[in-house]
Amino acid sequence: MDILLNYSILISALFILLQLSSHRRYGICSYTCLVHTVFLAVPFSYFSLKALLIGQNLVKQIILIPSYSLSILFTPTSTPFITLLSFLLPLTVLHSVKYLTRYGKLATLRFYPILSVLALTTYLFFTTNNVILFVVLLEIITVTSCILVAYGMKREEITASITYLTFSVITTKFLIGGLAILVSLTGSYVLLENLKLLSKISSENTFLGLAIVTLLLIPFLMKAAVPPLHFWLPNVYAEAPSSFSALLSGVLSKIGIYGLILVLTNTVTTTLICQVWGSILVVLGIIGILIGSLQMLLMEDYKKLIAYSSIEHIGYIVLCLGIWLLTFHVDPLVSALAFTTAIVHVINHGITKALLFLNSGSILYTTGTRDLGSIGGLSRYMPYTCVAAIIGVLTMAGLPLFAVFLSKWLVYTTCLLAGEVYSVLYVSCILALIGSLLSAIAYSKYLTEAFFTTPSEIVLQRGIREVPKSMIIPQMILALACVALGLYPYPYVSTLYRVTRLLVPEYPSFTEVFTVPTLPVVVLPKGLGSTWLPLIVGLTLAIGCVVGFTLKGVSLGVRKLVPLWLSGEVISLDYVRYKSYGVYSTIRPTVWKYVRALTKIEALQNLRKIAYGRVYEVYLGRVYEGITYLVIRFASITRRSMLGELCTYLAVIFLFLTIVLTVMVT
Amino acid sequence: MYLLLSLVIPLLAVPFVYLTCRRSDKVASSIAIASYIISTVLLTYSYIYGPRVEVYYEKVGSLFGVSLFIDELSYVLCLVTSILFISATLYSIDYIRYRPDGYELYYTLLLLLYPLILGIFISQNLILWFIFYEFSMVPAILIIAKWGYRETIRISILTLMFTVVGGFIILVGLLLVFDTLKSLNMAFISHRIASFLTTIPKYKIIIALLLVGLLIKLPSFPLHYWLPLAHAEAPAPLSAILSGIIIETAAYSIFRVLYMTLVKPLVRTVELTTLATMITPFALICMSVALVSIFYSGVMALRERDVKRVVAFSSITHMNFILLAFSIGVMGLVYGIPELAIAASMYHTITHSLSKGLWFLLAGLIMYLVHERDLMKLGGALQLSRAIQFIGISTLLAMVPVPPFACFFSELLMLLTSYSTSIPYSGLVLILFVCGIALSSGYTLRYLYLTWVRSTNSAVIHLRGNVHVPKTMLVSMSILLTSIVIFGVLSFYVYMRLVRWLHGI
Repeated sequence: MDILLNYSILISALFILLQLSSHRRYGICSYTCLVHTVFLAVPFSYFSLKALLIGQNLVKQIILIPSYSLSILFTPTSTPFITLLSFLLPLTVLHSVKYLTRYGKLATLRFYPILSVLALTTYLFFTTNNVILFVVLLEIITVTSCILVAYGMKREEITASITYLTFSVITTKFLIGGLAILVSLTGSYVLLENLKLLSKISSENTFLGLAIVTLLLIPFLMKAAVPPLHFWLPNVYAEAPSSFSALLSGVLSKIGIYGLILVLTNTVTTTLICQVWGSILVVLGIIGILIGSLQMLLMEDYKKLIAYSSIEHIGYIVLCLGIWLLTFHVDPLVSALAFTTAIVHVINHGITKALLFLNSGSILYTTGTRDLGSIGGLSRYMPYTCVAAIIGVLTMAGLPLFAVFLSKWLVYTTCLLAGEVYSVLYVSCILALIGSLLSAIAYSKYLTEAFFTTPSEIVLQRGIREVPKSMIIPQMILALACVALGLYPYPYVSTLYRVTRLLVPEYPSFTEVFTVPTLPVVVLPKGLGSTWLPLIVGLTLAIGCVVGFTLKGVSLGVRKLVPLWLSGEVISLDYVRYKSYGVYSTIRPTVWKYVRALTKIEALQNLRKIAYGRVYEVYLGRVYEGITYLVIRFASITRRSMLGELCTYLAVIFLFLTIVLTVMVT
Repeated sequence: MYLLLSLVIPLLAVPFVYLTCRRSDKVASSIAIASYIISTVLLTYSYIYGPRVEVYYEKVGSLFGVSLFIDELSYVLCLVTSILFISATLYSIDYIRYRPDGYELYYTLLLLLYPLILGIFISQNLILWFIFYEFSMVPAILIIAKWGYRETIRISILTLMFTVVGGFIILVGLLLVFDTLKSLNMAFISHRIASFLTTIPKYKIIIALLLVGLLIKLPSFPLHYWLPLAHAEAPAPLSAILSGIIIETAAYSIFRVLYMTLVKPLVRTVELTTLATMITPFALICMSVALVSIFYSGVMALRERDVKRVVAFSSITHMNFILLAFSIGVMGLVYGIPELAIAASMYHTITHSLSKGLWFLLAGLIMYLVHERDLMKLGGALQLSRAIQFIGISTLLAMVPVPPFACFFSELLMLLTSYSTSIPYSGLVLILFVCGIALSSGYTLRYLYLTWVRSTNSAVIHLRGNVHVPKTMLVSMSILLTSIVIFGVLSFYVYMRLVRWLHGI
């Protein structure tokens, strides 16, 4: 295993060269990439799991060129991320082999060698311990992902890719600025040493510490798509090739979470930073949950729907990290629980979201459209894809016996327990529940519209068939993983708890935080309800479903299919189908009724006037428009200075000379 | 002998180029390229095996002197000059055919420009350096006047005026130096720098004069007016040389003449408090001028619609990044901090030179194919062929910048070295620096967006599928691209060499 790791960069270079040389032969190139990702997964996941299990950092060497090697570090913190990456990468590559043929002309050179580079750099990013390499690898990850997003070379895809590039490049500059301050203080380029200094700085000079932390966190908040920096996400995930969207959402957005954890674990000792960033993260997390779930409801593009779901779930993770910070100095049990929840949700969300993106990719592959309204009834043509979709949607909706149920349950529990410390946080639990409910509705829209209604005209005309095996297998593996993690969560939750324990050794042990029931079905945090509660909830739901189905049969009697009575008029079938906006169109009048009633109250009207008039128009509107106006005026005035006379320029030069001379001499 | 030969050989090639160009411009340009390569080989030989200093005529009390030398910084810049000239000459073969006639003069002037620029980098006597520094603009101005695009006469006179006035100011400074020391040899000056201690105001006036003279060519904010015009209206290969090398000579001169000759030797002879009074105003002026110029040119580039003027404003931004990092390094000198920021800004001079040259060649290629200058009408220009797409996107990514292109590493090093707790307001300067760099990435990405994404009002639409991209242009651009990637991979090696050289290790 050591040898595999030592030569991993050199062998990767060979793999990439092989792909470059065989780019005219699609099969060889794609399967070389698959072998490469499997090859990388073995040593990296082995050593990172080993680092977690023995509970200390492992320093390893990778040979770069003979007699010169790169030192890398496996930390327990990066273990969940590396494991997730090693699990998802080969599956997405396998899915992409057939998926890419939907683009017509194959441009292999633009996909597989770049994906290989991306895989290598992501592994190295999680294990590097050098400041410069950290930044460089982050940028390489960004650029390679941008190239992969723009694979189809359509206008929208390029736009999405450039938006992503702009967001990442500009925010990374702030990371570099923050690191520059740290590096000048330590005088060394070792990443962990620099970050450890952060706690010392922030205890001595809290303002400087807060500034550095803010600079360091901005790029990671952007990578994770936390609200004010999330605008790039829906377009990028929707336009990217679906196999790559799975990777983006599954792993690459988790780079942001990794960065957040890396920075925040070194600053938790300072109370002020904990409170400031804890409350910011809680608020941003809740905004993310609400924005994500509400937008999901409105989306008719199913890839955008799943993309917004990503924002929602990152919101849960960020919320938990915020609670972890807020309760760090107050209640070790809650904060340990919150941190574990965040990591557990990283794993669960990664796997499930990858499954859903691969699933949506399969639909896109067969139907060629991203519009939910124009597809339907795919279940009878694509049974395996349908099964995968059902499992994915049930998991994402947070139903018991599937993976995400546990982490969502833990999120609510964390919020409730944190509410006992800061009672404001009860609200977060309610909002998280609402978000979860809305997303469940939106997911049911996805499932029913795509798979269960009557087949649409596109579906009937195109002669839909089941997708190839290489696209089904990854989905089935991921679906199995969802079920397995849901049914038997004890091992991985207890393993992930080791991460928490290793970061902060003062935290209580696993059995003190969690109650382990005799049945290996669920793991429950202590302090809330009985051990049997989730089982009872699950059973009630199951019984309810059974009762519902029986009652449906009773009320309708025998189902009959009756042809539409069209009175001789020729109407397309799609015209009378149940459309995806039906989900929210029934709710909308009711909501509007209350909104209108609310707007009639005078106090609220005044409040709105103040809020809209003062805050928006005066502060936001005038400031933003003022700045833009100033920039434009400035540029257009100074542009005229290029048309000046020679003597004017001469005068300017001598004026400047005089000023400089006076400044220098006095 | 080798250094002198490297200057003479291109001059010897001039008649051959002039005569053969009437028959075939390809033969003429290959003769020119051969002479560049021979010069580079001679320089390399002299750099590796020595002698590194060649003295022909030096006498105390004589204003004029001829002595040449080569060291790490000069050598790297000479190498970059050769790479840029080779690709610019290759690029010219097809490009200049759609410009006005008279190619033999064009190639001759281009060939004359090469030894003049090399001379700036390798001359040790300040008068010799001054002659090269001033004369290097003459062929460039002549080329702009004849083969430029719009308003060529006005712009060349404007450029000439700026150059001449700048030269005059520098010359006054040099004469003041001569007045005190009776010699203008750089090594001599740096040995005798202590004699300025009796006349500190005079020393400050000298520094101010030289600084203003050099800032005209760098250029910084109130002195920059010639640059966007000259660089945008020059033919593309010359724009690449102007932006790639000629303004870098100003940065080189700031490093060499101001810093290495007049400022750094003070550290050995003067105690820190006197040093602080002598050079703090200098560093502060550099810093404030650089910050103003960065934001001014960033905003201008963000609003600009002309395909080449954006690149010209980007040159101003990047040269002022160099000036800013340099001034932070000079401030650090007062507080006894190692000169890492200066080494980083030197390295950015090298990387920016190649990347900016490539960007101008790309802009010229777009203009050559589409005959349109308005960025808003160039949507989809990078999708005209696969080769353009690859080279164009790489070029713009090299300026954004992202790894593995060299500019990324130099910007990273500049940022990482430009903070120190002992320098006052260092944090504020760092934040402004970060914002300026983010601004420069912003307008580069805007350029990438406007040229890559197809738009409906594009002048490109009817060209799709029937463009013929000349191979020489692609080859010349890929030479530059390859060298950028090589410098990027070797960046830490080059940077460490510069740091060791600066500290005399």
